[in-house]
Amino acid sequence: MSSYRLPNGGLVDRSAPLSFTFDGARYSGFEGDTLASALMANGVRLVGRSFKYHRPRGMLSAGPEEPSALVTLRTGARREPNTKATMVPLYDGLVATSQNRWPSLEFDIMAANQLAGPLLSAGFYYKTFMGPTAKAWMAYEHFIRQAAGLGRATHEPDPDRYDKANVHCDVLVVGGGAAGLAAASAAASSGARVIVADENARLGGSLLTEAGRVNGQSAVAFAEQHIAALATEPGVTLMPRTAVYGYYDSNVLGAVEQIADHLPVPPTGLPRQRHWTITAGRVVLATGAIERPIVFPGNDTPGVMLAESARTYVIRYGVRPAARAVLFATHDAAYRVARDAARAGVEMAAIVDPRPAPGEGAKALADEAGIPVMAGHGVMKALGGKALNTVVVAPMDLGTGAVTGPESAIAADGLFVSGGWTPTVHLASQAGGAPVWDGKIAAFVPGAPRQAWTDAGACAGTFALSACLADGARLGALSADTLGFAAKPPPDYAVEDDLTSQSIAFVRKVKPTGRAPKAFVDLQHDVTASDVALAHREGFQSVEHLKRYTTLGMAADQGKTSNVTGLALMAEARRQDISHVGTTRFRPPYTPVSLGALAGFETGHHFYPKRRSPMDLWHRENGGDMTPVGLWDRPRAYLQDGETMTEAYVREAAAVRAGVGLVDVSTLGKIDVQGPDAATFLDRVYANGFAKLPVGKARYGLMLREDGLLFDDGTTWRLSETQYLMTTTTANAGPVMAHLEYHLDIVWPEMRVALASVTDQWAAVAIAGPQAREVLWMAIDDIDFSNDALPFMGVRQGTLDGETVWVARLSFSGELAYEVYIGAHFGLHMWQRLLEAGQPFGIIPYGLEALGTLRIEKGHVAGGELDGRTTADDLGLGRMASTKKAYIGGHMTGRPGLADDRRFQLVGVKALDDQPVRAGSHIVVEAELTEPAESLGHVTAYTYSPAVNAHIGLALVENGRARIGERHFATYPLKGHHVPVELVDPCFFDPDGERMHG
Amino acid sequence: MADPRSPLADIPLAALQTNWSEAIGVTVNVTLKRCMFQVQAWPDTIETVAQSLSSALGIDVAFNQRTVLANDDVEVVTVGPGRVLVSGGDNAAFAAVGEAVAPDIGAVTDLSHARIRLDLTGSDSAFILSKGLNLDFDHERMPDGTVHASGIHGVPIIMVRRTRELFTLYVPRTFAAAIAEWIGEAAQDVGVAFRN
Repeated sequence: MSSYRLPNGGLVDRSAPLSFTFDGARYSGFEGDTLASALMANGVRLVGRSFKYHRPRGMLSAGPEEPSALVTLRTGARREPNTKATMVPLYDGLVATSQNRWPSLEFDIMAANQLAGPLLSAGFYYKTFMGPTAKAWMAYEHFIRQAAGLGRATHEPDPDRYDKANVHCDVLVVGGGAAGLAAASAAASSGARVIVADENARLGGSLLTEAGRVNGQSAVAFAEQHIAALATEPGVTLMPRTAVYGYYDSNVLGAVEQIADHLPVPPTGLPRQRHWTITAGRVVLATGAIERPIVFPGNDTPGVMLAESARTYVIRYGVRPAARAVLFATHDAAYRVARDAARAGVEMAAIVDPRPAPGEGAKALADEAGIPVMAGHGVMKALGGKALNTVVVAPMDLGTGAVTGPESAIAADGLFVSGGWTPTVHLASQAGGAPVWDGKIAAFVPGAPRQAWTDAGACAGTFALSACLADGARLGALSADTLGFAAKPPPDYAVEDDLTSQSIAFVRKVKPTGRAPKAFVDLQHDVTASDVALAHREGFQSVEHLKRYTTLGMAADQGKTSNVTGLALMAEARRQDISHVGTTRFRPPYTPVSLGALAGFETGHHFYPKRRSPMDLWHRENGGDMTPVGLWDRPRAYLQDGETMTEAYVREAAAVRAGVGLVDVSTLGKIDVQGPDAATFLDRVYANGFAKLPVGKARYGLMLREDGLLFDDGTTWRLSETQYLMTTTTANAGPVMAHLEYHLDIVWPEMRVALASVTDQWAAVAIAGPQAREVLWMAIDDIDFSNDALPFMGVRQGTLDGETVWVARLSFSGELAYEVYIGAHFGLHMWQRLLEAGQPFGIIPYGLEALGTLRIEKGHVAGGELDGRTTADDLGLGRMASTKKAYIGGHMTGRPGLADDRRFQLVGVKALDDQPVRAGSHIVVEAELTEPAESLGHVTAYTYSPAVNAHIGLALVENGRARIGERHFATYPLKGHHVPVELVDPCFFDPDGERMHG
Repeated sequence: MADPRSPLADIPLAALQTNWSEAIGVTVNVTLKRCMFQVQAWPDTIETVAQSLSSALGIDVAFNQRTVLANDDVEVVTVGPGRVLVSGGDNAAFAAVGEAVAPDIGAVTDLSHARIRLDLTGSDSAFILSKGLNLDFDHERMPDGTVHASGIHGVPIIMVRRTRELFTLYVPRTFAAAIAEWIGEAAQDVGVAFRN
């Protein structure tokens, strides 16, 4: 074991050694270590390189605020960059690598950036890469992007599962430290359901390093006892390794539980992480506080670390963070660090305190430990490059940070820094007013809540253990009581506090004389004190501008250690109090959240729910080339051996015209409209009339939006005096249902009409072609299919093998055609039965492409034409709109914009040189297209028509009907297509409708 | 005669099953109901329709609670204002209700093919459902008989809690396979079995 691991102590399990590697070197640690503590125990101080200057960096902290010790975990598909070594639980076989260095961490060529420091100040991109041409940035950007960033994410798909779940509770306690545990106990005593969520692997927070005693026992023992008691409470859920990252409206919070991040590979079936959406009656924010660094030159040198973190390494992990160290602190409580470090064998060379004198307790503690106190002094520089070796101190003015006396050097490999505490106000800020500056503790505390939360303990600016416990217990009980529970009086905690700080002196920045290394405000983004000053000089003085100009407070740590000092420096530059400068608004996430956790398991095959027609499997098993249509998959065509898609659909379309074909139309929206007022209702929602539609007949209907534009079309069948079956397009089924429900519920609530989606109830097919009637005669009973008995648009009920079917004689193809509906459980049976009955007639199944071909040949409109911009008149359907009744959108159809003779109107297009015409092509007059030309319109649909023996399409063309006969070009510049076309009537085939009426 | 075909016959249910820990946290039973229909009363006929349904079905139907009412053969689930879902029985029940609820007091829509019933049972059934439903599954707050109309993965469902560990989902037929696949994925960590 290394000399940095203490012979005893700490909360690690020394009976469980673990092996891991860092940059390929093998090390060992113990169960209970973090990667950071294990590296420190092995004497590893240099763990990374900084973002911009590639400066050597070590561990600044021991917790989630860590800005510097970012490493890449694992390899291959599980490689994860930018993880905080301080938050990575050590496991056997862990593989970690340093990042942002080449060729090695020790020797990083990009460290030469430090020589160009003056050029790399805030905003240097924008100042430097401006010319010589406007497009020059495009060239620079490639190299800048290459150089930027820290770790590299894997390009392989993530092999792990991520889960998600919702949970409700009465009281959510965020943070499992002293205040949080006390709050949870108090709330749980009422019978309320309580969740305690903490981002750390082990609950207890500062109790795990607290030297004070509670109820006569150590703080650690108290914490363990408390946690064990909570674990047995039936209404309490303890969630360690769960970071609450976002606070949203209605007291909903987002959290991520790390289920298997502490294992090399998640066990089979277990997710790596689970996202929790927590809905809480009340929330107690016991999120603690983060120790604040002090800005001085060289404050990023490996070996410089936050004081309480140094103590955490000693007490919690049994690791000596340095051999000889200096404490630089601005308040009394930090003196505990010197005491405990000294007890662990760290030679404490001095306590440097810029205050004129420490408090009596602190002075006594230093005297007892034999540590010299340099009151009225500050650390002017930390020197050493890759490892701290010298701390330069000097007398300084507490108010200005200026040197007031000669410097002296202290040899040390550790410098423990404490500039006070910053309450962790992130969640409170997300769900509350702006944080409020508290001068006594020199920190921002949570503003007024906008939601049902209270802040407890250090989050509220209360730092003594006794106060944290009392605060937590009081607010936990209050939270439960507010919800109608009755909490028991909280127990009296007999607390012997350790040394506490009555007040905290605030040092913005130390100002040494002469040359000095850079003084960093934000270690993660390499933002220096000079950058803040530069931002001020250049006018970026608002805290929001400061953040964006310098990137202060951005990235993975979200400014946890940098915000307050950065704001203080800006306040000083503006000659204002920091309370006037304010803070930026904290937004989710509080800590990085993986995209996998946000997505959960609804990825890949589960990305969206797939709707399946009753015949879906048949299509797949019989050559159907499936394509997504909304949530459905539909067959484009049924490919036979060696066929191309074009060959297949041309074959299918031709077969329908010549004989008979069957297509699955189960995806059409179907709405049951019932009630005494159903006819009136339909008269209002359709542009054409339905009230006089006889029972047993169907009608094609046009539905308009309120603005007069076309919304949807379809047929509606009158099944009885009071019942209609409305069909909609596949794409608009949901919106049409919502449209109808809105008008029924809100606009005409007096109407006696019931709506029910029956899309799932009915399997539906269209059977089309000259032989369609013969096939139905063979398969369906109880219907007379003769032309007189079942004329065009007639609707009849019959049976197919004993099951009820509805048959409507409708035609989208222009052929003699019928739609047949049967209960969906029998859909596949009907499909197979009709194919069987059609065998003597050469029946074939056909897909969407042939369906499209048939409808284009007839000039029937579909989604390409019903694009939300067209009117009934644009599509040649204007005469269908009633002039005798009011209907939705009717009053708007005559407005100038919709009656303009320059509107795009539906026409047919026919290729003149036997070339395909791409859908989306623009119609232009230019024969040669070298520059963008004026578009007369665009092609909405295209096909090769076996019936016309030509490439044809439909188009929306300006004043199109008047242009029929003109010859222009359909151009598609992206593909280099430029096809001569003639504008023709949109109906290419059987214009008199003899086939469908026959 | 034609045989009804379950939409779950189109997917390999066995492949969705997991029991890596040799435990089954949730078992899914799939049922094609013989008869299911929705009854909608007009705002001023709710009482009349309730009385008509009560006499036709032999159940004391009330529209003012989001709960399930049942006898041995038929159950009535209140799914909205003046709206119930009646399931079970046979076509005679549908005919009887159709007779009892004339158009001037309400509407009856056949949904026998439109919904699939999935019964989830097991110690983890509530946990699995909580992955798709943001509902408070605490047994005191969601007692037996509670009905919720909500959505899982964007699919509208009606959920009935029958016991602490038994839940019924009425799922649109065309989404039934997708929901079964969703449950199979959601239950990976607890183990799942399907009974068709």
